[in-house]
Amino acid sequence: MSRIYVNGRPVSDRQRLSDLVGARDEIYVFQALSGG
Amino acid sequence: MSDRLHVGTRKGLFEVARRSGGWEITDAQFLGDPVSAVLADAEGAVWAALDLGHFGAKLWHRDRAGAWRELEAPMFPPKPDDAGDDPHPWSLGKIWTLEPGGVAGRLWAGTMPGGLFRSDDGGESWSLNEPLWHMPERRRWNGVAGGEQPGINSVLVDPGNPADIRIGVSTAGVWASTDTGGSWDLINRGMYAEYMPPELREEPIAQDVHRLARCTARPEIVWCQHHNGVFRSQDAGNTWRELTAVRPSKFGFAVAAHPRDPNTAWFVPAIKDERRIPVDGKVVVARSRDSGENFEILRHGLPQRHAYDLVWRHALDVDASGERLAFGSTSGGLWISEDGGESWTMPEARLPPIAAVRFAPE
Repeated sequence: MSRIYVNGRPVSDRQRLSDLVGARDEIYVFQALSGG
Repeated sequence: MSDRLHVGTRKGLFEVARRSGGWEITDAQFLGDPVSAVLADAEGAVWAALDLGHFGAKLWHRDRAGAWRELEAPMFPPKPDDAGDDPHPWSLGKIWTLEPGGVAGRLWAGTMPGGLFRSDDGGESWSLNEPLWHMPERRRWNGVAGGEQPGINSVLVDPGNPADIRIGVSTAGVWASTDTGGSWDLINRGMYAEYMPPELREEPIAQDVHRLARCTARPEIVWCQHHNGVFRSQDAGNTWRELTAVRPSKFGFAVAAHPRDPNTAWFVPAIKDERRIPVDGKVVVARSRDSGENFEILRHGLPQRHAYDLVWRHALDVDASGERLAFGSTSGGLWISEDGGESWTMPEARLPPIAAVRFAPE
């Protein structure tokens, strides 16, 4: 699963999507890397 | 020098021994089963952790007479009702590293999902290190390798003071205990996670420490292969300096520290980070002999055309002499050096993907 931050805050709710995102927020999505 | 090497692979555990004609496979166990960690002692005992997926993590022990027997694997307590917001499972994912504890009979096991376990009877029984497990910060540990479970990949025990322990966590930085795990502090300063939001970039807990290696003779010297570079500490992991001279790249997983020379360490670089193949298809080892000011590229005996081997964090080891090294790759390549990495030979074998290599101490 990838990691997602809204500004510096990790998104915590993957079920109900209750993390608020404002119009000026910055979203960071980190690719989930695995394997060799 | 060590004449015996244990190799944990995707499909079994192999023993490689030095014979008059060179290194050769002398034993194969658990064929078909993934081996996630291996440890050996000087008397011939071996501990092997298996990662059997749906069937769980298992732990096996070979006694000094050569007989294998399954041991009870580390076990988490049931997840209490008031731990509902703990994002991590309270069950053993896999044993990721096994280390001697510096006291007769003591072993440490670093695991996914981030539990540290201790045995004082040679692995017959295990107890979860509860002070670390119950730290509120643990709930902020992040997953590794695309999964959601963090993992303790390194356990460094001060050979002169077994109460002094450092652990490396993917992904949660470096943690220290000076009282045999009775209390813990997050200690690392000076690392950076370049992919994080700016305000979290230098947060110690955000650091993806791929692997730590400590100089046995000078335990305050610790080397680190980090997701974003290689680092060296002169104060047992409290502060870190990036070694920007490393080449041909700064990404990788494995590091080995010379047991006697605090200025020498080895890395196996790769292209960061979604590629994860050697630079230019050439397998090389990067060695520094001056505390990381400069690095040499060691390639004699290693494949230099169309080689796409990646070396995982537990798949590089150095013996107690500092002369014999071994590393294994995700393509099943296994190379051994008897001259500090200057030249490498490959035993006659085509092995499964290699997760861990470990010399037996002499």
